[in-house]
Amino acid sequence: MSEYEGSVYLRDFCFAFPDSETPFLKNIDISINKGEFVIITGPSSSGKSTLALCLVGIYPKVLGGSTSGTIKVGGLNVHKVETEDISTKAGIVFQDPDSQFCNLFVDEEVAFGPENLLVKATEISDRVNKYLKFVNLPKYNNKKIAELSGGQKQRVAIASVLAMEPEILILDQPTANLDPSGKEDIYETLYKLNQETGLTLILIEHQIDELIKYVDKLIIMEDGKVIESGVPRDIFRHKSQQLEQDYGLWVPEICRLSFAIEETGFEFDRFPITVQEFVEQKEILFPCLSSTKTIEKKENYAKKTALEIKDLSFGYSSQKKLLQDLSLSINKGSIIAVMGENGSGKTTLSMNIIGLLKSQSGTIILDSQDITDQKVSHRCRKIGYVFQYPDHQFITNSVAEEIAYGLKQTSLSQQQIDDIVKDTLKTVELEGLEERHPLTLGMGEKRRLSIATMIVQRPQILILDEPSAGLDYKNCKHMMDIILKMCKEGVTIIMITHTTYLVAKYADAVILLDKGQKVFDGKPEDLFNNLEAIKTKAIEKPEILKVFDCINSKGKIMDQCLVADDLIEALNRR
Amino acid sequence: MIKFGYIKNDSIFGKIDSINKMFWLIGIAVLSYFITEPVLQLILFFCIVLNGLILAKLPPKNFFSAFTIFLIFGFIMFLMQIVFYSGEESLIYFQVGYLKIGHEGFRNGINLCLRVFVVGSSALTYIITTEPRRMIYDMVARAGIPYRFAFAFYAAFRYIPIMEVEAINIRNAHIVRGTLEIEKGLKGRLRILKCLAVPLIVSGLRKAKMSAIAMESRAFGAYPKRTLTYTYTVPFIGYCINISIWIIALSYLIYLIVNGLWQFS
Amino acid sequence: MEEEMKKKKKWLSSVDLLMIAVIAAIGAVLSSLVINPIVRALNIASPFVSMWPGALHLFAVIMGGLIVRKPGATMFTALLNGLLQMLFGNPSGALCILYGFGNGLGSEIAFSSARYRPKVWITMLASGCGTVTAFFIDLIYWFSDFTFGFKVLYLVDSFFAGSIVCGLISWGVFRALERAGVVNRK
Ligand SMILES: Nc1ncnc2c1ncn2[C@@H]1O[C@H](COP(=O)(O)OP(=O)(O)OP(=O)(O)O)[C@@H](O)[C@H]1O
Ligand SMILES: Nc1ncnc2c1ncn2[C@@H]1O[C@H](COP(=O)(O)OP(=O)(O)OP(=O)(O)O)[C@@H](O)[C@H]1O
Ligand SMILES: [Mg+2]
Ligand SMILES: [Mg+2]
Repeated sequence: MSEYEGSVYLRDFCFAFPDSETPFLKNIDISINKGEFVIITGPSSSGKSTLALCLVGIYPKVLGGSTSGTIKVGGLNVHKVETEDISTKAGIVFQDPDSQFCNLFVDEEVAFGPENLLVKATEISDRVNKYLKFVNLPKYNNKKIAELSGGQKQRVAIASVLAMEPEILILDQPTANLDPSGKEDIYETLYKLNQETGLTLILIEHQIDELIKYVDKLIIMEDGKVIESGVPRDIFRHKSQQLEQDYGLWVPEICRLSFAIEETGFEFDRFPITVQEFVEQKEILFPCLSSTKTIEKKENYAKKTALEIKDLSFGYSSQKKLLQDLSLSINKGSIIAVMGENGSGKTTLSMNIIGLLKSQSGTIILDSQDITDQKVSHRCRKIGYVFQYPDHQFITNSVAEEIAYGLKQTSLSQQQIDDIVKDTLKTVELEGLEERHPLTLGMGEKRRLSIATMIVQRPQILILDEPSAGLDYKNCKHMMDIILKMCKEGVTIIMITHTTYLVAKYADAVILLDKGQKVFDGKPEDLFNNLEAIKTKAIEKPEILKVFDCINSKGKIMDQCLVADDLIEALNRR
Repeated sequence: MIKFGYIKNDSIFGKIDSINKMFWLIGIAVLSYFITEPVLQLILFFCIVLNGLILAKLPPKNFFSAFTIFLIFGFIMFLMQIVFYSGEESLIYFQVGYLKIGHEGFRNGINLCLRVFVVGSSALTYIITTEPRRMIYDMVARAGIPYRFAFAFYAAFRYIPIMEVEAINIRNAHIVRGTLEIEKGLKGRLRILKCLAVPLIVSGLRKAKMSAIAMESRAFGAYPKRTLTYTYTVPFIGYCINISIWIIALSYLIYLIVNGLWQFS
Repeated sequence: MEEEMKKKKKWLSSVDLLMIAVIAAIGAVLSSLVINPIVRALNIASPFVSMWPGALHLFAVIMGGLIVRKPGATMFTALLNGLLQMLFGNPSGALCILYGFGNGLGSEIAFSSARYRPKVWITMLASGCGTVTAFFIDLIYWFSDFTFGFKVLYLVDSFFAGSIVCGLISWGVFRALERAGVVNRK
């Protein structure tokens, strides 16, 4: 075979971690052409990040390990050359910007790569200006990185890799903690880059709804192997259900819907994967859809107030208030989603509820009892709180001890405690991991464990801060099942999230914050239908709702629903 | 938390490179060590304050705000000296059993208290006038420290605010878990400390590994040198200040030795 | 596998250097926020008492040595830690670097003579030695006029303070880290 001209070329590539005999990445075959926009997806721990690190030569050159097979990146044989040579061909950006910077100022960070490569000083300053402009951050040269927002940091990270002028850009979950508008911004920047400069883009993501319109190629990994690789349309046309149910992937909503429609016997000429494509076929779809009737979502919670906040005000500094005269009331047994842009005060609000931050004025009433002046230790017997990074909450050395920990204060006997631990382990499906150290668990397991530690305290309210960040569909669903179960038992859930799907599917009510002000409080349907009136960028309309908007644009044809699941259910029930 | 950071400043002293300033700083500590005369120590202290206010143009509020700490530390030194002083006392003010407070011990205490002030205020001058990125530059370009090592220092600087936020988060998480109620007594306190330290170090090490990977993938350490994008010139006065303090220190030492006033203990 | 790769041989790799940076940063924060106030308060009672919590200044240095386990790592952590402490406005100023050097020297010698094996007694020895060398500087710079007995007692006390307080605590934390799977004890 002649020399392969593309960007990335792997044949029979295997990789084993240091101190491990068996390869973790097994027989990987990938070829990516110049200028392609590629997404790698797959469940947690399937080896996506590991593969990305292999592509830039970090494994095995820096972190050790052993490889076999062919691996060529930008025409270079990764085995034969040094990491610095690869770095001019392929650059990588990671999920958490904070841990990948090592300079204090923006311009230094962008100049860092070229400086290492001994590029001339004058050229470096040109590059810094050029690439900062490219990512929409001109005039930010002398800002401190620590003072930027999450989205801006992510942009700096991208610019700093671009400044090395690579041919291939690899991004490992670059938007996990960003709000939808920040996400959209980053994706658009990337697409612009890809179109204008012919940069090859390899993006690792779990949720690919908004991305799928840009993508040339989709690679799906599972357990260190590539299980699917090709055009997204073909993959989703044939494998949607399998990918979702067997591998636990986030299959884009429209793809799920299209797949379900084809299941009913209908056949598309061109399998739609975006809203645009879907509604283009609405004429032929009408007969199929119009006869379906979605069921009304029942309000499955009691109309009793669990938590009431009146005129709450809080500011980190006394001059400027962040939260201003916030009032809300939350029904018992419901799931409340708190949404808002990055920095709009969601975490701050929840910290005020639990008492970790002391509100400057206002009252908090829990179950018709004023808890404004109660200490955190009192409040947290009734309010559970799951932090964004579950690692922080672990105290003991094993999963079982961790669950039992909160029960130590109570007067239960050892036997009773053991029973509760066993039950809880079953609820969160962590049986068999009793003896593992909490910090060695996977992300989804950690999240479930941190919920378990709160379940045993039998809280009336459970607050979750961005529980879905970085989770795959299977783990996310798993977690939501537990939460729904708790809800049935009367626990009220307050969930801070950026994930539209979770809100659309599970939330009974949404509270939207904007710069510390409440701008919306009501049902998710009302929120998503009135996004224009509320004028917020913090929320993305659910894909399915966009479909309904088009269908119903000339008069109401059918009842809308927010997630593909409901519509699919209606289709099947027909 | 870092109360005394760099404050942008274009004074003469601020322009001096950090290496010369470091030698100046060490020179002062050495000189202060040679001085046993409280009056001389006081003069040295005044010189540093004047230098800080005039040559370095430090904002007095920032400069003097740290002095309470020096005062506490200095007072402790003073007390210890008068209690534990072991030399001959020419005059004893006060004696209770074994404990005696005499003239020499008292003078020594004052001297050491002033030494705390000298050492502290000179360091403060250094901190407020030195920008971390200038320090890195000087370490690499002037002191010949390999840039990988200089960068480790810079990275540490970047980690401090991150670790601080992390520590607060971890503490909050523990409060919510009710650790403060469960762990009581000294053993409990130690356990709490461990519960704080371990996740902090774990997340710190993870972050370190992550940044190391990010840096290596950007060709960090590929070549023995790297481009320096900014340049600084060293004003001549920098060398003057550095060298003069050492000349003063050494000549004072010689003066002491010649006059038989110096005894190494 | 066929193409076994050798790690790029560097005395301290980037990963090592950044780990050291993090540990030194944590140590400097610990020293200036927690330990220094305690030490200062206890100093009024007696330097022999304040030395016990004071030995914890060495915590970061020992952790650096235990985690990185390469020649010079301990010393580098100590110097970095000292420099950072000085920049935090520690009243000891430039002496902080000297203390760092002292800490590093003692522990480095102890660690290297045991060929960087992570064992509890080696950790205790290294902590003890590091504390002694640092407190030696105290004797010269601040306490030069004290009686000989005081000085001997001071050094002996500092050795025990270092090896018991700092050695055992660092060892405990190291073991906990090991169980959490972030460091390994080969
Ligand atoms: N140095 C190592 N030694 C042994 N196993 C490792 C090492 N690093 C990672 N692993 C394991 O390899 C697996 C794959 O990890 P990887 O980070 O590549 O997954 P991923 O697909 O990126 O998952 P996620 O979506 O959660 O980011 C994990 O189970 C992890 O525990
Ligand atoms: N400890 C603090 N001191 C001062 N300001 C703070 C502090 N913590 C947060 N802020 C500021 O308060 C604002 C709200 O922060 P908060 O963390 O509540 O936002 P958020 O809505 O949770 O955002 P995200 O989606 O990024 O988690 C931000 O502008 C932030 O910079
Ligand atoms: Mg990953
Ligand atoms: Mg938040």
